[in-house]
Amino acid sequence: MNHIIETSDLKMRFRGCDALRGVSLNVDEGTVFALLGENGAGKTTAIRILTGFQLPTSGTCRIMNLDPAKDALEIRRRTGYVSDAPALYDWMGVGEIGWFAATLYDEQFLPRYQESIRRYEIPEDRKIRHLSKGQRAKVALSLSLAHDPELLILDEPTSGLDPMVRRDFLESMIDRAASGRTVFLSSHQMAEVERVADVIAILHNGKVRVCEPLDTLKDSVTEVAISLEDPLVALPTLPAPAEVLGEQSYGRQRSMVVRHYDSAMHDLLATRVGVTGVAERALSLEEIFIAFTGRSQSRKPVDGAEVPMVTEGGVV
Amino acid sequence: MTKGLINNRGLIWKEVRQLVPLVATLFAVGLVLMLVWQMSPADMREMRQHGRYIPLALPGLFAVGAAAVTVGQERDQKTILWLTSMPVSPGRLIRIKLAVCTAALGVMWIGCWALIKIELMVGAFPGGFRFPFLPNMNQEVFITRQVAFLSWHLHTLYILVCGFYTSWRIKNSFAGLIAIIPLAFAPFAVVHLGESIRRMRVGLTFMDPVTSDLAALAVTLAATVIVGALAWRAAMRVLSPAGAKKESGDANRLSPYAVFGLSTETPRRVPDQPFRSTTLAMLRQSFGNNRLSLLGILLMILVGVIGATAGGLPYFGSSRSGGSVQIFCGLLGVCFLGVFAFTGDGRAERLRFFSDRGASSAKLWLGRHLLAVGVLGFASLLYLLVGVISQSMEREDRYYVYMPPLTLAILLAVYCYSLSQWVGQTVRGLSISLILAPAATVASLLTAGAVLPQGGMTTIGAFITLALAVLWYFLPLIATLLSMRAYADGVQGRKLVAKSVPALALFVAIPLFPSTVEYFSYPIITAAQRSSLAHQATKAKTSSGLSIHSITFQTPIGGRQLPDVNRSDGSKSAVAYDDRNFSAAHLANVYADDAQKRGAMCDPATFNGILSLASFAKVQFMHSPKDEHALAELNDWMETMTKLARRLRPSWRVIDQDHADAIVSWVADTLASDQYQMHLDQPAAQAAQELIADTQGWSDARRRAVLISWYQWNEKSQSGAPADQFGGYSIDSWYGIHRGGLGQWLFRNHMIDSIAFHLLELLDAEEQGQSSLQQRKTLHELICRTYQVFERGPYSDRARRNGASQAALLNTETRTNYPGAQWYAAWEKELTQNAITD
Amino acid sequence: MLFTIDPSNGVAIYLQIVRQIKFAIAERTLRPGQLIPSVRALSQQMTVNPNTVTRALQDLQAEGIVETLRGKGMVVCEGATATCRVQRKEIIADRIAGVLSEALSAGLSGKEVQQIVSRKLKTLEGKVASISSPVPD
Repeated sequence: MNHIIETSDLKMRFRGCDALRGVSLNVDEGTVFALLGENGAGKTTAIRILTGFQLPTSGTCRIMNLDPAKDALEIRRRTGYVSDAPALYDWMGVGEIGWFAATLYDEQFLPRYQESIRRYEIPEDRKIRHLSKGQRAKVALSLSLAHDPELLILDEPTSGLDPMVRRDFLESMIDRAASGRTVFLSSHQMAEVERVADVIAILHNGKVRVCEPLDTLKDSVTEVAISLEDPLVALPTLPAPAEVLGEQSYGRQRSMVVRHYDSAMHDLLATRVGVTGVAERALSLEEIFIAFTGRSQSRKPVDGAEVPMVTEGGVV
Repeated sequence: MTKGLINNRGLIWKEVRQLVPLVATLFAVGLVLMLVWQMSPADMREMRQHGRYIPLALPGLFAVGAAAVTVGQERDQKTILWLTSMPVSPGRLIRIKLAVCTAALGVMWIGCWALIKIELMVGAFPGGFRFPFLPNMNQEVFITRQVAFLSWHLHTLYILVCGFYTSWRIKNSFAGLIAIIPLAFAPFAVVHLGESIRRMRVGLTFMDPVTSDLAALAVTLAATVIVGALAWRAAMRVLSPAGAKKESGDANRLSPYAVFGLSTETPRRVPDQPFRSTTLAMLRQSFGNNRLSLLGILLMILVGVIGATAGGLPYFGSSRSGGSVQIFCGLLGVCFLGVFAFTGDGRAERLRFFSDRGASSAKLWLGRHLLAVGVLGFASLLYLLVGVISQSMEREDRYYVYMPPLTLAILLAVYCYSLSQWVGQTVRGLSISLILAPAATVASLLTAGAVLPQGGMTTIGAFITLALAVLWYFLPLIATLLSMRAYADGVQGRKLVAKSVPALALFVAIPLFPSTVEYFSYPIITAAQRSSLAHQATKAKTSSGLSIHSITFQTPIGGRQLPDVNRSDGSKSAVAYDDRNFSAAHLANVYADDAQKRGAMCDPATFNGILSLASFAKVQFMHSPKDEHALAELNDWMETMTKLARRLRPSWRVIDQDHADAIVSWVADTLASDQYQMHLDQPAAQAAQELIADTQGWSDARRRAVLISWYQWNEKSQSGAPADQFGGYSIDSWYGIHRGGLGQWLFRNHMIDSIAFHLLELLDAEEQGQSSLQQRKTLHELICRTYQVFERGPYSDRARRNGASQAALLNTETRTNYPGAQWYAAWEKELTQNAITD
Repeated sequence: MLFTIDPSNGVAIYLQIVRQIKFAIAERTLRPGQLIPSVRALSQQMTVNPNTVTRALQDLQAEGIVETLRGKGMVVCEGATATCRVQRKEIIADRIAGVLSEALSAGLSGKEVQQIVSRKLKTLEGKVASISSPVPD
């Protein structure tokens, strides 16, 4: 399969700040690729490099086998891009902006755009400044899809929009995937990403922590809840290939998020002196994300409870 | 080319749509200004001179605004970001923007030429339209017409290119607009510099004007190309992918890269103690954000101050150019300061930060204006300082320039500021308000000046006038204060304008108020009265039989012209100066061969001469009553005067009636004098007594005179010839009291009718024995209102009482300016009574 | 057919789809010979990735529960009902095993568990229609 996006060791350095420290991604054709990361992890920078708005400090990047710095025009002809809060011309009407954009593409653009607008039930003669936020997002989406792009890049398109609009976006993404097109998505809506993504990449501190198909990722991360006799019981380190992503202590209980956990490790823990019980749980994508980005899980502190000690790898 | 047009039709349409409001506003403003200019009275010569700049300034204004609209606005709203995500090359975008703007500039020029053509057809430029000089700093370079023509057009193109450059280069659109101004003057500075260098090296020699014009043109051309290349480069930098190495995360405004700005901001220094006072916080906020624009504005105001104090305004007729351009720049800066009050951090969204925290709208308003108070205060201090220094220095052109006093400057500056901030708050769109503000200031000042007549203000009284003026002056500030709440709540567009509508109505109405008052208090006669007047006049005209001939008599008193005498040998020669003869024989000579039946008319100068000669004879007699020669002379004069009086009566001119009255009074006075008593039986005296007794026909003669005089005047004015005489009275002296546009109109159309009508009314009233006070008051109102109060005027009872009346008749001034002042006055009543008792 | 997909309950989405289709066939909501909607339609309906739907259908096809019909799409095989019923039983058995192990690890004895089971069976007899657990899975 062709890699529709191929980046190799992308580095981006701003004054006093390393936004990207060597990002290598490969996106296959016909998949829905989701890039997750905290705010400030470098997602937007990466996307700006992909769309040709920014030149990287070092590293290469190829989209559809073209260089975004040199063949930007060709790439843009075959790519669609939707950002959050897209800046459309306020004074234009919905129909007018479609006609305007159509002059930059081929003649298939306008009918497809108009059909999309009809489907979303947006009045054609209304000015864009009088549209609601959700309608604006739909217009932006229609504009980016009307030329049937091979690659659709979405940068948090549904932030701040109501569930109906998010649903519409989701359906478009699925529709694109079903037609064999590629979707590159950067989003915080974990629930949506979980449903619709093929491959997940998590960007943390400028590096890609993990880049795997969603199912594999979910299978490979487990939360292990261990009940102990005594809070001070020491647990054995888990052998490779296990990787402890996070560990917390709640008195006589301890929880660990482990990667590549298997039954052998379960036995190892269960047979340890002082361990009364070991239970595993599969994690949702949100929890996986939080584990990978290193923050402790949110919990409400109850009066009188013992303060949990946060460790990362290793033991207390 | 058509293929290119079709391919780019979307982009072209977009640019055109963005420019249309700008073009429309400019033309509307231009039309309004031209209308105001047309309505201004013809005696404001300076304004008429500068009026022709109006259509020539419009394309320049457009050039400034075009860049702001097509580039600045798109950058502010980030739509250019969205555009670059489409398959359009940056070069294509820039090219189309530039092309459309240039084409629109061409359209503006064509429109302005059409405006000028219309004005020519309407007759606004009686001498034809000549291209004015370019304001070339302190030089007056003679520019041939063709080169001036080209230069002006090229310069607007140059300004357009400058605008492009600054808008692309400077992130802040306001600062970008202001930065155009120094750039725009750069070619002139270069030319000036070149001239100075040449002067230094070669000395003050004659410079071939064609060469210097062409040099100026070449410089402008070169500047256009250079700045155009720079603009292209800046634009390409902005639209291309942000370079990696030179990326700066700091908010460096002048950086050509990273128009979108990365989110890696350096943390701002947080002061230890936040401001406790809202107004102070707002003041701090005023110059926190838009530092560059503020600096630009300050510079402009500074230039204005220096221009006013060190350069000064040239006296009219002087050849110095003085600091006019600098002063204009300074006032423009004040206008920009006004618009600045409600842009940038004065925007509604930013103000909401304060209003959400409980600041009242009054405080917000005050906070926004504190900055202006500070700036203008500082400018005033500087004005004082530099003014004192400048006036104390010895300068060669000190007597040719005029430094406006500080009070006047402050008043003007505050007015500009207040009107501009009103415009800035109400109008959406920065570039439009920047252009509209100075235009509105100029238009409102001119209109107010044109519309205010003197008469109305005296009617309504000084106190009310002053109160109205103060209200009008501060109205823009009050308006913004009242709509501040709506503004801070984010109301904009038509709704916000609607809030200002009452204030606007008041603003427009107040200067019109005195005019309205004057109009309604003016004694205009109704159409019915006028038609009856016309009817009577026609009747009188057709019934008059006598032909009138004009008396010319060259008075020998003091004049260079000496009368001809019939010498004994039959020839005529000029009398020798020492042999001047003041006798009545000369007068008799003049019309000796005329049949008695002709009437006479006599212009005031001639009549003065005659009266003076007669009075001289009288004085001679009074001095030596025993002198036979003097007596004979006096008798001669009595006879002559009697004849003259009889012949003046049939004249159709009102002034001749007054002349006749004067003669009658003089004769009566002579007859009544002691020295003459013993000679009452002489034929001359007898004839004179008969004249005095015949009081009957006077009123009819007067009435007839008024009617026919009015008829003649009407005919003349309707035929289009300049009507400057009414019944022999020169209208020009009455013209001066009617000032302003309304006054002029009233003067031309209604005054004479009213005067004629009320003269007739006066006659009617007096004939019936009633008091003519009302009519005399009206006549006073029409003729000499501004000079005196009625009670001291020539129509008052005081001027018509015994003693004063006769004096008034014999006084040239009162006789030749005030028709009918002494009709039925004391002198006449006395004679009538004497006639009855005799 | 009604699908309820919960992406975050620990079970892979494709597995959820497979199970739900099997249960539907077992209940005769889907009958043998009935056409199954296309991948595109299904993915739109469930708002999940089409590849996931494809994978689920491929699994079902591998197990012989559905088959491709030329020119029409996927249909339910003959005899799928019986297969699915058997599998349903297995799935439920697994569930019961899970409950049992939970009970045992909580300290209940085998006898206690059996008592509970018979008691509950008695109360539920005849009221099969009211199932408190909403969705099988």
